[in-house]
Amino acid sequence: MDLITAVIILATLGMIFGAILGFAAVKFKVKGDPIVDQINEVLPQTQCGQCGYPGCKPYAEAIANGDEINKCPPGGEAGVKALADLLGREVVPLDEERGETKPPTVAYIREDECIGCTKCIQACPVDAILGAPKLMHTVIIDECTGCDLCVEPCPVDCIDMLEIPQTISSWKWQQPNMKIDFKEVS
Amino acid sequence: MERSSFTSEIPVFEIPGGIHPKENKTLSNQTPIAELPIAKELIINLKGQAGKRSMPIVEAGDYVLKGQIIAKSDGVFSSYQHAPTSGTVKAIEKRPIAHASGLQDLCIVIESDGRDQWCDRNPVSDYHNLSREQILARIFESGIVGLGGASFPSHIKLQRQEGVNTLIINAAECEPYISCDDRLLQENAKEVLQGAQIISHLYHDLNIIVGIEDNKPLAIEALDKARKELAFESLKIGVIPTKYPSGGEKQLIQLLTSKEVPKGKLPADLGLIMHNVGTCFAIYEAILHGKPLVERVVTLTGNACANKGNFKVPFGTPFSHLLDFCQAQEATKIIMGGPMMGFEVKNFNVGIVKATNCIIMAGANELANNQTELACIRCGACMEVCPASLLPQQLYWYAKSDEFDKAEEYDLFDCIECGACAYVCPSNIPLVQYYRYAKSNIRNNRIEKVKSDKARQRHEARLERLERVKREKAERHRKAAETRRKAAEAAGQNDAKKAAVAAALARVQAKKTQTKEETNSSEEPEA
Amino acid sequence: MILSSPFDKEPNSVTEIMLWVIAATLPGLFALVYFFGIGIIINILIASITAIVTEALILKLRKRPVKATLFDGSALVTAWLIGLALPPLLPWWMIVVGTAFAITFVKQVYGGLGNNLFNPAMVAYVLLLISFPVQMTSWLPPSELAQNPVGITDTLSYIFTGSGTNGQDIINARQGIDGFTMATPLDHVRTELAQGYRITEIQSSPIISGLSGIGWQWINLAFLLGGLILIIRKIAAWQIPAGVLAGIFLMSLLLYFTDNDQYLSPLFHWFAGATMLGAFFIATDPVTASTTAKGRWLFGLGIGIITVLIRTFGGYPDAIAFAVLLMNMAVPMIDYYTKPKAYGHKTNKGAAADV
Repeated sequence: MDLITAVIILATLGMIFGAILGFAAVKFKVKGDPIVDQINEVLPQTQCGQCGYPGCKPYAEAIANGDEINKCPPGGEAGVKALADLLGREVVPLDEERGETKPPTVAYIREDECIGCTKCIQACPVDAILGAPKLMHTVIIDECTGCDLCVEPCPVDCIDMLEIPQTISSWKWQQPNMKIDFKEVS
Repeated sequence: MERSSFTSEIPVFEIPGGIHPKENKTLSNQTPIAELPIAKELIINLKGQAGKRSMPIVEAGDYVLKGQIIAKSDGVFSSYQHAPTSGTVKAIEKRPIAHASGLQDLCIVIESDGRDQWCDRNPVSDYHNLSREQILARIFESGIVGLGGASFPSHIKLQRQEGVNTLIINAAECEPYISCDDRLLQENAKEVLQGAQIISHLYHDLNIIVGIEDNKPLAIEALDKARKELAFESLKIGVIPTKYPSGGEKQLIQLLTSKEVPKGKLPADLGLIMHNVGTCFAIYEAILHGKPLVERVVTLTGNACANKGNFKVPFGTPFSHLLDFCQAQEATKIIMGGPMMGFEVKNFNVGIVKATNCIIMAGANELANNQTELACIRCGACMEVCPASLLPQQLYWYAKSDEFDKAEEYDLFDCIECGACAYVCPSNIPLVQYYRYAKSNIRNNRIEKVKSDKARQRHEARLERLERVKREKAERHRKAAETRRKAAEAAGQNDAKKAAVAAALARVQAKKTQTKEETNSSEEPEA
Repeated sequence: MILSSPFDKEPNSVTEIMLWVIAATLPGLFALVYFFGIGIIINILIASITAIVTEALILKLRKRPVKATLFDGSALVTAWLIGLALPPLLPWWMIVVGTAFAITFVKQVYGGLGNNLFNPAMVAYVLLLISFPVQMTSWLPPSELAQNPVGITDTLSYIFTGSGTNGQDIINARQGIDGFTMATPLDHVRTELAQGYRITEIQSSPIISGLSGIGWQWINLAFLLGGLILIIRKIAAWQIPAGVLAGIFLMSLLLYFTDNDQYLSPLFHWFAGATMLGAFFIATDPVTASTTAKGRWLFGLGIGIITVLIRTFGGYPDAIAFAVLLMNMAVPMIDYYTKPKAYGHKTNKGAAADV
């Protein structure tokens, strides 16, 4: 008899809590962005393809499906950290085969050398190059992500990647280092 | 240091935190404000104010007179710039500017002709005849910005009229070493108060309070005297105890009214506006004498400075000129501003700007910090002195580990960077640097985010366009194929008829041949 | 690198703070030595040497600059507090084990000074207490009540060999004039209560006479004096000891009102055991205490209340160490919920809540 009572009580409790949990799951459902969009938000959107995918979104999809998070050199260590935070994964060092993190650059076309072949225009992932066949092209600096993709196709090598010069407004304070001389121990 | 015995005329409230560093004001406040020989070359930084860079309207080679406009305001949130002396525009080019980074920015370089000749001025004897808009326009075109240190364009601060009932004149000057406002009040209290009256007139009479620290007894006396001379009895002098950073805008408001400026709001939302002593003087000069803002009082001080004191210095005067004048070859460090919030200047070929209130030429062992940074022991000394009631020890922790979102959660952006925390830290941690590091990174990340969002949109738009083009192409091909197929079909049908005809003809032919060849008894394939 | 303002710096340092802490324990130390002999000083010496050697070794292992951090004085303070908390005549190797454990596992493994969650001195104490309960509760009788007062050579002999110079057992040293083995007042009260005696009966024992027993009341008063120096010098946050004493007072008063013949009075609690040492020197360790003004009150109150509860209902006679460690665990949460309201904010909930 005791046994039956116990079973009944436990079963009832189980049902009640199950119902509460079920209700809570419906009621408090978090309607977040799908994970791919969240990952894509974190990626730097240079669309450079250094990760081996044809753009940031495809890489985001790949990460969501379990690919490594260290294949994005433009995002740098900070990007890996942000992804690790978002996905609850380990922070791993950048995959060096994918290239190294460089300071931000913009493409610059030496206009007198440009032959107007439009190849760079086709390569630009963000439509930041203006021009028409047989006419000289130019880069919209504000839109350029510095992805490098236009350099390769240029038949006359007239595109340079220039570092964005530091200005008063883009200047950042550095994090102070421990001023203790670490050589003391080594 | 001597304290004033003057009793405050309004109740003074408490602010949390604060420190009492060595004041060092007597180094420079003992002598009257003097003038300097004019430098040969003046370098006017076009981004010498908060807001946008001014737009030059002169060209290299132009001759300019003192007070002539050389750069226009780029929109409202910017400022006019005037030639600080007469001479020739030598160049408009990038030069190092007075900024913590030591980076370059666009400057107008003027070679002075030594005559210091004014352009035509347009003084107004009775500003009561001018409309509010006219006075505001004059202030705007005179290039007046806040001279307390932030260089915020004054016309913007004065724009909003509704609800404002009190003007606070900030004469606290709480940073050690600096004494330019102190001296200006001692010598020109009357003019400063007249400037305040002009501001008051803009609002059809305001309550006016001067907030001043009790370590400036002579300035307080001068104020009291000037008030009597002007029969300006409604002015109240609020004497506050000397404590750093009482002179911060938010802190002074709290001291004099007990109110806090709510986050994201302006003092005007509390009915208050605050202007610095120097700004009031500049407004007086601009309206009553028609003099645009071309110079300011600068405190030259520090143990390595031979000519300590306050001087009227035209904007753009190179630091090197001032250092030569003060024979500061022995200086170990040159600081623009005070020791608590100023920054070190390393290139002396930069011109002074409207915010340059003080130049400290530090001697040996002065303002030198040779201690090493040790671990934080969470002693909380920083928390006790923080005027914004933050938890500096937590902010430090998050800034150090790059956890910027946590730092923001702990109100990083309410930090006014006064440096009280770093001043008391027993572990000698450069706390303000950590906060500035975190703040500048957060700001940059926000800009990057906007950029990357735009890049994503453009990339997606491009993909869509390519997709569309592909679709359209496919569609065209499909249509073309269809037409061809139809054509082919049509052609095919004709062929069939032809074939049928041909076949029929062939059969007829064949029959004929058959009958013919039955006789020849030979069979030919029907091909 | 470009260095940010401020360029001015108040002349102070961590070392200075640590030395002040040590200096402020001196009155208490003198009182302990007066009543229990120089064993305490030897405790401190052994603990200090162990702490400095261990710290230097670990810093070297962790490839951290040894010189700059070793002389911040923090290891010395930990050692000093361990030495003050341990009973005299404790075998030397126990002190070494406790101190080395505290420095290695409680401090350095967490990342060194400033990063540890738990108070190293108290972890050492608790480790030794649960590992060697007999030795750790073997306090000597105050010198006035001792039948066989322990001399300097005997002290050294007990500490380093485990027995006196004539080979006598440590029990010998612990005998009171009435022939019974002495315990601390708190221990004594607890045993007697367990045997069904009432407080009024227990208080007739010589060891309990006075405020909280011969010796201990003076020791606590001496630590209180040193503690007040720390507070006046603003080296320790005053809210913490105030909270501890208030917590002890409130909790014991509550119990005292329910039955004053069963529970000890607040005053007895204040001046018994390690109360003052704990309130002013141990709970105030800034690294492991709460850092907000309100949080410090809560932290102190918690320690006080838990101390009285464990002293009254728990398995150990004194409880400062347990109370401190328990509250150490609560510090991150206390700090999170007691964040002060920043200038211009309506609540203390941080930037996000106000926008």
